[in-house]
Amino acid sequence: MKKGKLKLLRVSIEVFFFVFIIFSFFRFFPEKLKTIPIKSQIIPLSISFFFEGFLLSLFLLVLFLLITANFGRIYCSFFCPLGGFQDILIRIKKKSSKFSHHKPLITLKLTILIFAIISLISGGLYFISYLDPYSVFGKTVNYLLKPSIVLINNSVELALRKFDIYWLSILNLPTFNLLALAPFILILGTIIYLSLKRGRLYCNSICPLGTFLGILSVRCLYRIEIDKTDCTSCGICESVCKGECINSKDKIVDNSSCIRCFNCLNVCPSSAINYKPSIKKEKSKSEKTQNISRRNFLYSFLGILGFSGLNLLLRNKKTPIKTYTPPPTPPGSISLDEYISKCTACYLCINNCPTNVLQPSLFHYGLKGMFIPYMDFYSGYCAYECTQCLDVCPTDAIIPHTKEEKKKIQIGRVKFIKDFCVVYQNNTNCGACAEICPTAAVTMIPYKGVLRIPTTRPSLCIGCGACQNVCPAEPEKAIVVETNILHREAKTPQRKRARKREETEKGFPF
Amino acid sequence: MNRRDFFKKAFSLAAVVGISSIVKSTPLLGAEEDSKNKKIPDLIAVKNGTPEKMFDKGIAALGGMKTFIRKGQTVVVKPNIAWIANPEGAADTNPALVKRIIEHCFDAGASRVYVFDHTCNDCFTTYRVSGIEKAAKEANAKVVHANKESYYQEVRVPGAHTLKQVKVHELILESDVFINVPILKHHGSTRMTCALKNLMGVVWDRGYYHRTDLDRCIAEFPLYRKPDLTIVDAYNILTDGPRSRSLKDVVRKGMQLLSKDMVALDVASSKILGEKVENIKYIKIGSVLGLGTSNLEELNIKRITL
Repeated sequence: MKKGKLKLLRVSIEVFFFVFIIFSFFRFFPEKLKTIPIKSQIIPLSISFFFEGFLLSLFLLVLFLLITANFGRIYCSFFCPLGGFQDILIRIKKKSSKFSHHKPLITLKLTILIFAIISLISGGLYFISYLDPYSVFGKTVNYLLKPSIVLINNSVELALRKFDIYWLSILNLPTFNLLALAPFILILGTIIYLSLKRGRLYCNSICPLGTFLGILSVRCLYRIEIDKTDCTSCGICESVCKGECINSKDKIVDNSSCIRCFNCLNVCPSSAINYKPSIKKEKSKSEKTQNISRRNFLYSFLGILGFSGLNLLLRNKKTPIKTYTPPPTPPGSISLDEYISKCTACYLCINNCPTNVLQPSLFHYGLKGMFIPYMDFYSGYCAYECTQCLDVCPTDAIIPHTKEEKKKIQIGRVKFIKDFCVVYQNNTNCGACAEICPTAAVTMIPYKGVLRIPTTRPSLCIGCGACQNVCPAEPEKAIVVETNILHREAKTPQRKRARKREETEKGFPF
Repeated sequence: MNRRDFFKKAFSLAAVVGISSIVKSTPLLGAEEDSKNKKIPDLIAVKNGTPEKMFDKGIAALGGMKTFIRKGQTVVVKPNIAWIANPEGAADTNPALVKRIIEHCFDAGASRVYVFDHTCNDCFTTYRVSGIEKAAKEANAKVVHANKESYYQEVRVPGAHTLKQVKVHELILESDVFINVPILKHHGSTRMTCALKNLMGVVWDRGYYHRTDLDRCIAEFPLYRKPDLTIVDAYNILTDGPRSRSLKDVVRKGMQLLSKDMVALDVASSKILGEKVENIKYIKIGSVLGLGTSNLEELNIKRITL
């Protein structure tokens, strides 16, 4: 491929994945397509493979690592949505500012990388969840992009409705919690500030994935190189380099800081900067380079394996939650511990949940589980036929199950508190809980006169929380779900008798 | 066009629209008397046919849809689309029936027909799985959502004791004709859901109903607005409802009832369902409030067997 077209290729793939990933956060987007763009995200793939051993994740992960070891940090400019977000900001600012070479902040980079790895080993993802570029981008969509789109949609809907046009429907605004928002605003503020000031400095100093991929690509095969004989040190390439990795004076490019945006290739007036395999030099040297890059890759791969192995050993430790019982975790997450150790809080499930039962948590799951989604039966309930969160979860913190399997997963059990019940208190009919119960775990039995009162069969309950959600009793709900820390299987109700399907009586009963 | 011209034109246009809408909504004098002279029955019961055919016969016996809709009027058709269930599950009104009703509305000259229900499950899925969204759109009706509070407006219910104020879907306020299309089902606490109970789907805060006095609120809502026509879908009925959990609970009755009188319809429906009228509290409250006649013997019932 001609070097001039590389930038075009990069921009098209970047825009495609950026838009595709944002679409995945909207419910109208076809379910089957939703998971595809997020399969390009390295940290979710790693978690999915190391914890659940999914082979597709392994395949894609190896593919991405091989690409990095051979071509450099292709991920950072082609697939990373947070990179795309920064590139948009940089483009807005572009005309007024120019970049110049800076020394890489190696100590800062490595410290954050090691810190991230240590937090991973200790069995919690709370640190990763604010550093993984995809998860940070997910939060940006949840807190910034989607609310703006929803507000526009809802006001247009309101205007169209006045003209009797019902094409659009009102969308839900995500809930905002200042405490959950604070660390996000800090991170996003840093990213926006750095990108406007210094290009992709976030990717080259804070992002642990960027650092990791940078180490992998130190001796990659395809490199950006300056032809020392043709170069006039005019500095044009340096001024367009978002990674601040071109030193035009000394005619050196730091390939581990290069994010492969290919901006420099098209601007050189003497065509002295190229992206090509570094074999053309001495044979022995090229072999050495290749060997090192391969070995380099192998070591880091073994390193991750080792770390994740340690993690597996350590993560069986119980999460200390003693103050109160936590809310249930989504069906498919197996247990509270497993869920906490795999969720990076990208909020893809929250945005695809049709009933808004999933909400960002605060201290519901203890310190280790801060900000990951929890099931809030006051804002919604888990829809019986729905498997959205199981289908979309990119890290497999919520493991996919078929619809029939999911309908049997018991995430909690129903508990009826008669003293609070409307029927008992007011002597009027209600039955809201029984009518919405999908499994007949709550049914109505005769009470005073023609009145009926709820009764429960907890073994049939799946803990979907519909009863708790609709219970009109105030101020305390008369029916609640008690969490199963470890999910169980619900029993199937036994039908007493089959009824006659067709009635052939003559005439009318009146 | 300068500003003054614009205002002139805008005002004249508004005036024309305003006057024409007043003219449209003026009731034709003598329509009541005509129906009495021709002895149109109070209640039609149809049996042994597809829902569409039973409706064709039933509405013809009521004098056709033109008795209810005049040219240019807007119509709300309110089926029961509460639960995620396919048409065989019998938790939601039969989509083929809804479609045929809409077709009759347009034949009678309706300018627009709206279809909506405040669903209990997620509204997008419920509309889709019930088949009603597709059927209604095929018949050119507008399928409207009712899942957000901004669609509702607060109204006073005259003469109500418990449900003094209620937030009603704006289309119920705006539309000229209101057609109620419930499906007959068993209900865990009120024992039966049919004509009167179906109207819970046009209000926003159903929690208030449940919390305050379910039966009384159900019976008091029509004091605000009675449907102009109610068609009871008793083709497939659910004997353990209102949510369909198993096809074993569905019984084919193959019937349809049409009337303006919701109390009479609920009494007749309770007999089809096999539930004692005394057990269904809201029917009694409704008849005391003067919504209709609970004694079927007083009524002129036409029974049609296809």
